[in-house]
Amino acid sequence: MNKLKSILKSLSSLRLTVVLLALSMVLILAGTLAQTEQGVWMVVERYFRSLYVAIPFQLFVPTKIVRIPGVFPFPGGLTLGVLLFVNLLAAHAVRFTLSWKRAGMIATHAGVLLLLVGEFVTGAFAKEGNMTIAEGESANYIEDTRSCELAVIDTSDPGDDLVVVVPARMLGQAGGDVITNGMLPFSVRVVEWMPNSRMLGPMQASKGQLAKATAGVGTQVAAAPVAVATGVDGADIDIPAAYVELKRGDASLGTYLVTPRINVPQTVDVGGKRYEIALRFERGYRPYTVKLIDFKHDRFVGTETARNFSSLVRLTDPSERVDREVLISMNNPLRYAGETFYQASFAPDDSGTVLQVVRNPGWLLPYVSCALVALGLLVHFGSRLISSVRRKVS
Amino acid sequence: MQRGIEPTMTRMTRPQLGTLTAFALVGVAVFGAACDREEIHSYRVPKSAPAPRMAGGGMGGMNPELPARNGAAGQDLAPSSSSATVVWDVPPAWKTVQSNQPMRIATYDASGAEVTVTAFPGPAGGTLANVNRWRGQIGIGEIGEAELASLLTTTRVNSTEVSTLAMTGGQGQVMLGAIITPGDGKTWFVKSTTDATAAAALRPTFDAFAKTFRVEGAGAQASAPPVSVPAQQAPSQQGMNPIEGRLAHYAAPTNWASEAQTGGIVAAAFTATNAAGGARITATSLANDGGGDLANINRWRGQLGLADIPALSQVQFADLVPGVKVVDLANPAGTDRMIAAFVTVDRSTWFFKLRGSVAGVEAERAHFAAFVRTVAMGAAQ
Repeated sequence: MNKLKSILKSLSSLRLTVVLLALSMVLILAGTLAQTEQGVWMVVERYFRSLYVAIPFQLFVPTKIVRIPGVFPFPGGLTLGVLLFVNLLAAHAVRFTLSWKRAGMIATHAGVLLLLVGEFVTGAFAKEGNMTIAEGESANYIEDTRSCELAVIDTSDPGDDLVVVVPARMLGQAGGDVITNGMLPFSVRVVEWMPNSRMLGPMQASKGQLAKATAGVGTQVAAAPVAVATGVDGADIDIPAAYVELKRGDASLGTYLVTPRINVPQTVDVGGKRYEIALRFERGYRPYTVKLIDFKHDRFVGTETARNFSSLVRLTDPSERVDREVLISMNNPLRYAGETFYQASFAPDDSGTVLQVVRNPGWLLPYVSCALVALGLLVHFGSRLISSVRRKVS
Repeated sequence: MQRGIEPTMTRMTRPQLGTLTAFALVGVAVFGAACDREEIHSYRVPKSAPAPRMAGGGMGGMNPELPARNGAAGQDLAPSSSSATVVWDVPPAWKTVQSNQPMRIATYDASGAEVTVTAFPGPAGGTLANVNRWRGQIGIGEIGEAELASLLTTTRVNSTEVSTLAMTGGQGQVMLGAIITPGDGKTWFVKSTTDATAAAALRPTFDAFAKTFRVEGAGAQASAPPVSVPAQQAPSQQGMNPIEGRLAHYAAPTNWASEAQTGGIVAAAFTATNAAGGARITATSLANDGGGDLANINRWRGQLGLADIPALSQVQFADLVPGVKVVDLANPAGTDRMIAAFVTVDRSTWFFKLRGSVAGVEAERAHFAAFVRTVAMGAAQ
């Protein structure tokens, strides 16, 4: 027990708090600077939701002044957040006294703890994606434009498609290794992986580039790597591409170019059975269907300036016996089945809508934590003020 | 604050330790749950509508496969956008043929003659335009409304209107055709071109076949007749981009030869022959913005040996077709020229390119403008 007390005492150190806050500031600075080279979400994952991060020295000095190779290890946001959480919790465990005098401070710290928990819950469990629907059409899946998947689809069943999904991260990490799995009708060898890519048309690609693929669309168009989108590139997203060789045993079924930019299904015949393959944005299917009845893009009269976007949709969920029409507009999202549907964007020529679908079980925590902190500070400083006034009066 | 540490240490109680342990355990459990390992996995989903297909592509037509059998021998069906389904009876002697030709819903071998079935939304440009398109395919001149009436034999079978015809081409070949409106909101086309003797033998069966097209299913009663709308307003159905439909119906100028080996994202390609050296025309589509206007323009510039431009504001767009962005580029030596037009429709960006020698491209400029106007913008041809 004494040993535990000793550990708790060390963990509750105020010096540790100061060090952790200082390290957090350095991490935030590095993470902000890193967004000039990397995408926002990549930085969030690498810097703020990781145990440790390797920070390049170059990040702090422009290459125009001097080139500094190498990286230095640094605790990631997850490590710092957990340590801050433990530090604060340990401090209360060590010094805990329940009294009205300390009520304000307890509430404030409870709010801070809740804020840390809230970020953790958001990082771990929040999901967001887009639902893109053309007018008159329906969608029952959400696409996560931050991650891709290689889908191998067995369309032989007249009722359902059997989809086997290989996460794109596995393709990116394969590095020439062969990916095999009992669910896959063939093995996949990643010949080339491009985290972000551009397409080269039939007259743009060289013969060598066109020769990378031996089957499918890639024999006519090619993909070339480009730098990943950075945090200063606005709304740009990475669109990966890969050349994958599909093999059945030792026999090659061909090398295919796969990328979300290709909007035609590519088929592979395996032992007389036909499969479709596609590298696509990660899909999450839902039990409900959203049909876009009408999309409206209102403009101020005489201008092209947008006044309002709205989507009239029909929400159908047979399992819940839901069938109703809902109007989603810019500040009026639809909330259903734990998800929130925001009017996010629209298809070119206003032919469809893009809804951002967010599921965040911790969405309420920041509000509660901020309220707790505000209340705690009010109580703490209010009681101090009252005491001070009383002293002066007496 | 530091002052309170020592005295309070002694006041720590079991419940406090328990609370701390509980927090730690919950933290570990949440952390464990959050470590969502990415693995290969599988799931089943109900079949979705066919994905968009390219008009000239070799990846299949509007339907990915031949129409699914409904279990009845000799009867084929094709899904419709409504709950109604169009079905037809296949003559016993005909054999179903696998075909990767775009837009084909079904292909049959009728004793050596190929019979094809296609369907397009709405009136699909109108009967006269389609008949004239077919006439162009067999090398005979266009006709007007008055001649069309005498050429067609129109009958009504229940709610289906069927117009059949036979035309003799410039090389003596005979084209049998049927234009069918079963009431599913689409116009269906059945066509076969063969020699005169085979056509004469085939025609009774062909006409009878065309009259078997009908709507079945829940939406059969409710399905409205096709609405007469201009081709450019025809709604896209089955995930089909309107440009694909217009491309399939496009009657190219006589000096443009369609290239057989297109496919994938290259929806159509033509080789134009002219006295100035000729040119090549392509229609290509990519998903979403196709990489962005500036990136595409810089790629084209690079292809012609021109330096990249830093911003779209520096692009001088050519005035070729209203509503379509067009760039007209030539290499520094003045030997290679490209006119590229691009437009975004239904989440796809379409690129129309005319490339060849400077004079060869100039000779086709007007044809190309008409091509873009018709296919990209849906203007009447």
